[in-house]
Amino acid sequence: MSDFQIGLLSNVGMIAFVALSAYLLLISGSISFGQQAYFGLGAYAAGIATALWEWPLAVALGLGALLGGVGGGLVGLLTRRLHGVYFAIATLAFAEVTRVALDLWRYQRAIGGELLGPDGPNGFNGIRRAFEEGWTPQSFMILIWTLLAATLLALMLFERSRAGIAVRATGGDPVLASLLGTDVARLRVAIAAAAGAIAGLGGGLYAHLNTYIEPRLFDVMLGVHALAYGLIGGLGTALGPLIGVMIDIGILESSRLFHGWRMVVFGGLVALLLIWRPRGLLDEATVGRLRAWFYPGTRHA
Amino acid sequence: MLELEHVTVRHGATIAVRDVSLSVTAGELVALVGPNGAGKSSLARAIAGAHRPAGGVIRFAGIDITRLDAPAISALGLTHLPEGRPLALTLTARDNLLSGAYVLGSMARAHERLREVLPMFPALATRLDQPAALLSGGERQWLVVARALMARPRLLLIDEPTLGLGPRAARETLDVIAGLRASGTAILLIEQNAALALGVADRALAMSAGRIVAEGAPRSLLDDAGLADRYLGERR
Repeated sequence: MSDFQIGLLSNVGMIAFVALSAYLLLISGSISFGQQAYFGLGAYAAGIATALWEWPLAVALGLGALLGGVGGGLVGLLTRRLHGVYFAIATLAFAEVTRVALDLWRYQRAIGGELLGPDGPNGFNGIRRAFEEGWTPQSFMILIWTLLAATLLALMLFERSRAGIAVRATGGDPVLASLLGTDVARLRVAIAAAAGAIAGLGGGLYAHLNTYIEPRLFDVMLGVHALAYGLIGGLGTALGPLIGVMIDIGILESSRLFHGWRMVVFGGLVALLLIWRPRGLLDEATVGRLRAWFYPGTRHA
Repeated sequence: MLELEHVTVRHGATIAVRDVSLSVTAGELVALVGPNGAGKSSLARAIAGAHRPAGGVIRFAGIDITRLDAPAISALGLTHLPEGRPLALTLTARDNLLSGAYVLGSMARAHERLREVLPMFPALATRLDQPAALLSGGERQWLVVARALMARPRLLLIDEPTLGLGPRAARETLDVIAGLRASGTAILLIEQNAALALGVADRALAMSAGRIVAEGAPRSLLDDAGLADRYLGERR
């Protein structure tokens, strides 16, 4: 596999974590413009843990996911009564606060004669633990996809669980879901925490593959893309956002087919899909048909 | 099963329900009829825990539920089918049904219940994997009733189930609802279509301007020409 292909697959895999994070909120009926913040928090936390505290990579990735989850959960707690555009604005505001705070934050230490750590807008250099531990770009790509596959599998199992059905019911109509017995406010906080953790895990991977991060990587454009991936790929299954990422990064960005027009094509694609397939390519109707086709035995039960 | 004593419901300064007392026993279908704005839906929302009453006591299965919230009340076996938001349209019919079984506590029990409920609604069996948005009006109404059954409710509180349905679909829907009594389910049916509701009810209450203005056998309410004229909007 060429370096280009490995890099491309790694990118698709990492961005898929933010897309899944936004997707999880979308199916629960919440539009968040702020999932990039937890990706960023996870990236900074995991980077600091390995580069400054010299933790092993695995533990650092766990810390990134944990911090993303705590951040997402706290914002979820504060916004649990907000809906629609108010929720969207609140999540965007928290994400921008996080980004600006990272811009102002300096936390550097001399490690091996070199000054490492977050340096405000100058970013955070030298997150080299992954390669010091012997990960090659190829094996790191496999790590990304293994973790992504595990996350996808967990999400798909979750969606067929009692809580998963309750999440979709809440997304369909929160008042109805509460009348059917779901504690909607609690559910929304839990979903926000889980979504934050997924983004945080992706952020930790991102920091270690690129070895350099800076606050403006985690601006609102990443959050908007994360939302768009779910809306393109479809909200009927967790595979939808992954397909969205593959279409954008895998085809539009990598092929250079459209040169500078990529964002125009991407924006146009989103607009067209929102008109023709408002819930994406793999929407609930398509997924339902596929399920009936694959498992004809379950049709009557 | 369900007892209300002197329940009052306010919306700000407006009193929507004034000093209402009523009861529904197991296996009984009580129709609550009355014109628009009589306070029927406000009363239903208060019973279901969606809006806390300003006064009075609501008891369900011997438990005081006046101050409980909606999820806690539904967990006790009181299922509310509110007016105007019958289904989550983006969900498939199957997921709508499974969401109705949330209070049963596990997916295994939900699927088991689905196998019990589906034979009652053969028309739904072939449409399980389609989003509710793609079902016809009649099919959606079946789905609403089927989903209500998924929770194994002890009491169903149904608000305007025939709204927007043609006469035949409306009658079929009410017949299905009436059939649920056989399993011991108590039903409080709220309807504007008084003639239809009184046709299937065991007992009836008429509401107007927030008060119960008549109570008795459905026949007696229908035969009270003055009442029908004034409150039920029905001229026979």
